[in-house]
Amino acid sequence: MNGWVVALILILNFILQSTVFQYIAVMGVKPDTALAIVVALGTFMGRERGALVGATAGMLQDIVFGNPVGITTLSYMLTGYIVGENSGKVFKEHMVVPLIFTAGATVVKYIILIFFNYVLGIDTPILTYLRYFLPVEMVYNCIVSMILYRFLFALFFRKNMKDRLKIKRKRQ
Amino acid sequence: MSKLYKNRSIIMVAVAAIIIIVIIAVTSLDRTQVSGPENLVGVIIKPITGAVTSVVNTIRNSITGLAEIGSLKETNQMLNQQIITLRAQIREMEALIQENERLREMLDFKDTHSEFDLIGCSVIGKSPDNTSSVFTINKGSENGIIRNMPVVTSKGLVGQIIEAGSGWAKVMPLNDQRSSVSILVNRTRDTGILKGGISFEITGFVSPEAAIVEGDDIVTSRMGGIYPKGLYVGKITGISTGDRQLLKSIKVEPAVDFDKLEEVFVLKHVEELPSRGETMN
Repeated sequence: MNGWVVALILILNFILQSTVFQYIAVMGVKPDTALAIVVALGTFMGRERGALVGATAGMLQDIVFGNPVGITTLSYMLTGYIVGENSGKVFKEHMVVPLIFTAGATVVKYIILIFFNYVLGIDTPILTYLRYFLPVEMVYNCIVSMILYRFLFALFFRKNMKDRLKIKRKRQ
Repeated sequence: MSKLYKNRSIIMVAVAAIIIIVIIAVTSLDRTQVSGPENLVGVIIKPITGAVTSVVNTIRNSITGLAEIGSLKETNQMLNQQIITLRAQIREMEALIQENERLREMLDFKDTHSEFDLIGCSVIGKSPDNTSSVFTINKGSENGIIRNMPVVTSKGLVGQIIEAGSGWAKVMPLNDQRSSVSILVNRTRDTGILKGGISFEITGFVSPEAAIVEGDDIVTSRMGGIYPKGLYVGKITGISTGDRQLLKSIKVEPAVDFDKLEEVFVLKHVEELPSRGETMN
């Protein structure tokens, strides 16, 4: 999948997230589709490009809505990197992969958020974050992630397959 | 060789992480404007989110319309009755309009000297983050919008501008947990503080001697310097005094419905308000 397609997916997702997805909140919690996309693409593309995809997705959200700017960028970048790092050890076809990676990534996201809020002296109800937002969002993210993973898997590997066929034909 | 390659990517990510942490530190300081590259992103994203939001609003409104079909006959009868009463009222109104026009002319003088300019803005996007209720509006520094300007609707106070770019700005609403506002209870003139909360409810504190009751109106006080005095915030819906609490805590139902914000006004020229001494009663 080339960079432009990835950028297009990220921008499209961001626009949907800040407009339409406001209405699909369950128990007051919206799913983090950007995180799900970073997890999927990190798994397919490896640690370096995963980190780049994560940083781009996070930066987009941070610049438009972040205060301060950078917390989401950092957590998505680390997510992309860690997922990419471990992607070689798993069967990418198995749906348990996005499930576990997304659950972990949601935890990492909240840890980073709480850490920076604490360091910067932003008044944070840490217990409510951990008891309510984290579990609810984790479940919602995992469900959304499995759907998006399947979709992106098809998109990503079908494209790769076509590229391989082209190369084969050229060789012949 | 492969070890070196692995180390290289860890170093790259670590360097990037350090740069991001520096950015977090810098942007967490008080700043009035977004930087050039940030502004560019906002300018590009703005028309798209603006368009999508307006489409979504149209769809939402028509869905609400469809849901009402069942009760149409009943509504029709009711409306016919209302037409009769309304016709009578219209005649009264016409007299009032004329009176209003006269009074308006008298008021024109005051209008030119009023403390604020109202800048009408549309809400173009809301933060995807579950722990933030920051939203963006479609006007920015080119309209003179800067940090700390109050944002209102006709119903009451919404929040404040936190950053402005050209053609867009970020708004921190009252119900965001990072937001706080100093308030007056309108009837008793007790001062206090309101804060947004994690589930976007608004709670606050007033002095324990305050003789407040549920239903009391809350307005802004000028303490803190961001909001002008007297903007309507909402009504008290709950009061609690714990044994060991030094202050009375209150729950406030805001006048503004934060989930359904479409149009807001930014108040300009706040600095021309009378000084604090004059406004304190």
